[in-house]
Amino acid sequence: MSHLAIYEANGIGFAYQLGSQKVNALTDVGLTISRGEFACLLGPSGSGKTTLLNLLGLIEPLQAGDIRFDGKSLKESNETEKNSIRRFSIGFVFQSFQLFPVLSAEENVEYFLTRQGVRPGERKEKVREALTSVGLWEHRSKRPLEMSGGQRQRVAIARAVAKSPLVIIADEPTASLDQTTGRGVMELFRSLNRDKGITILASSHDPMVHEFAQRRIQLKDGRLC
Amino acid sequence: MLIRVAFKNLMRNPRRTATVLLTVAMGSGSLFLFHGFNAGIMNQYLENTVHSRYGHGQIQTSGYRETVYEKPWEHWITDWESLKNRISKVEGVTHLFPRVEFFALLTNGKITVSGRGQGVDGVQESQFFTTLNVEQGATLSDQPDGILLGKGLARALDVKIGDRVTVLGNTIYGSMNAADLTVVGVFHTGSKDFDDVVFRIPLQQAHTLLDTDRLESVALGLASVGDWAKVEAVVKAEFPTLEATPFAVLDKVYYQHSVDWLGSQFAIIQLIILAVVVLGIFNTVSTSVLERKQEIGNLRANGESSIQIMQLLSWEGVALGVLGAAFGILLAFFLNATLLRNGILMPPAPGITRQFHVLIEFQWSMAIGAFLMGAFSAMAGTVLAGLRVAKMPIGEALRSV
Repeated sequence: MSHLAIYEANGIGFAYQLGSQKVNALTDVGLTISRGEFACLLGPSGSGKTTLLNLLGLIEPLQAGDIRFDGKSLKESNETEKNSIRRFSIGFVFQSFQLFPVLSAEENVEYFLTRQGVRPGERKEKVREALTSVGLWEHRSKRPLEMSGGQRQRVAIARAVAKSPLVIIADEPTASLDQTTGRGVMELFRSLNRDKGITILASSHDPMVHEFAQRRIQLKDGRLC
Repeated sequence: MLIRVAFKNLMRNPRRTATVLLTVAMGSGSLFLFHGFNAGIMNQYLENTVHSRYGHGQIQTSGYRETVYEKPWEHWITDWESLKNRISKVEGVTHLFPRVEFFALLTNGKITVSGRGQGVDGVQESQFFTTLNVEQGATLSDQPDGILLGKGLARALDVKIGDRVTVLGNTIYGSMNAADLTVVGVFHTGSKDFDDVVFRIPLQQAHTLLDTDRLESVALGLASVGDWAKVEAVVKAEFPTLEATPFAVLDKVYYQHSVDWLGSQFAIIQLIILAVVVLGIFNTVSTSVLERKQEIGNLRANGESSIQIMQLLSWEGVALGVLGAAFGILLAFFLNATLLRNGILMPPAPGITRQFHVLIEFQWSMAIGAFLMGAFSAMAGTVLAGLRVAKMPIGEALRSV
């Protein structure tokens, strides 16, 4: 095991239960992601990109194989330990933004910091820094519905960044955005990766997104190619 | 932050939130009004019992009430003066009513019926026994040869005010005696059993008829029901041969059983109201929570446990409950001060033959109780609705539309 690896996955498999049918989404996948990598999962729809990201993000339960996160086996971790990893070490950016509509941009970013137990003074500073880094400090009082798609996605990124995670997992981060806005978002990911050393794991069909990644991981029919 | 978010979440769908608030308000307001109505009814029962027959309680010799004696007058109170001097000084005692009761025949010369006579201090009793409704003539007061007849008894004798009635009875020594009296009034208490047999004559007349100066009982009028304990304590400590019995025990069949029966009925209706409120809230909040499945999935993906999601939803429930219940209580106060200010006219209650007005009687303990029940129901409804989504696997919650 390398101490530089943030993820080490061995023999992972996953199947969805659709009615009485079991549909295999991943079969015997093994991969290692190093700290500070910017990797992108590639593959057609149904190839298992989102499932793999969900497993690496501790969103789906392990069915087969094991994943070591920062050296710790997820198979041997209890729910409290997994919650702690989700809370402190992983930031998520979803295609559909998943912002709280009733909160302002500032409050959206602040929420998870509160839940991390960050003190108010430090919290305010982190929120300001995160929103400034995505260029939205001036728009901090706006609610998601008062913002464009690109702005919303940048708030989602700021929210993920503010947590000071080891990894940001971004599932189709540009799918809801136009090319120019999408490129802006990807440049933001690249600068976070480069300047803060945050590991970025993204998935996308978009060749533009692939251009930003240092490493491309190709999936087909639930297997690594 | 959790509380702030919970409050803000209530503003997502103002119409739905208003529906839930109204449900809680109706529930807690109904409970509050219902408690007030319940208290009003109980109070009417109490007033009716105290001011028609028993006073707040009676003093008799120990064991007299439960025992059937061949010669009951041998067990009557003998030293009325010392009892009167001491009990009248007890705090809260406003009236003392010396009484004897006896069975006698009443005749108008043509018709003879049996009745239960009460020898009473007419002047004193007329001031206190106000629910003894005198529907003809006047109540018994200072007329030395007056007789006040129960409504049913007067009808059976077919007498009217001013007619003469002879009361035939036995002295305590067993010889026959009679008293010629004049009908001064006809009363009804609301209790048919009572009104059909009871008549009242001045205590002096009863003593003459029975040839004794003893008292069977002394009824008491108090400033409030709560003063009874002081009377009881004094009698127990200073008059060991006597016992004091509160009206609720004296009239167990009518008063206490009615109170217990109504209490059980009210408890069931209260449960039904609470169940309706919980189900109403559960239905509305379920829709709201199900719409937020993705968001809850996002919270879980960022490290919130199922319990913490439930905490967030619980705060929403608390907010809905507190606001809704407070509104409901205020609404109940408003209704009571406007539409219900004259009370509610009720048909005759069990054991009573007349209608009566029930005033909604509010107490702060009721307001607090109704408020807590409303708030708790809202929280329970929210928690029940949230439980399923909070426990849903994260991936499934995020995939839901």
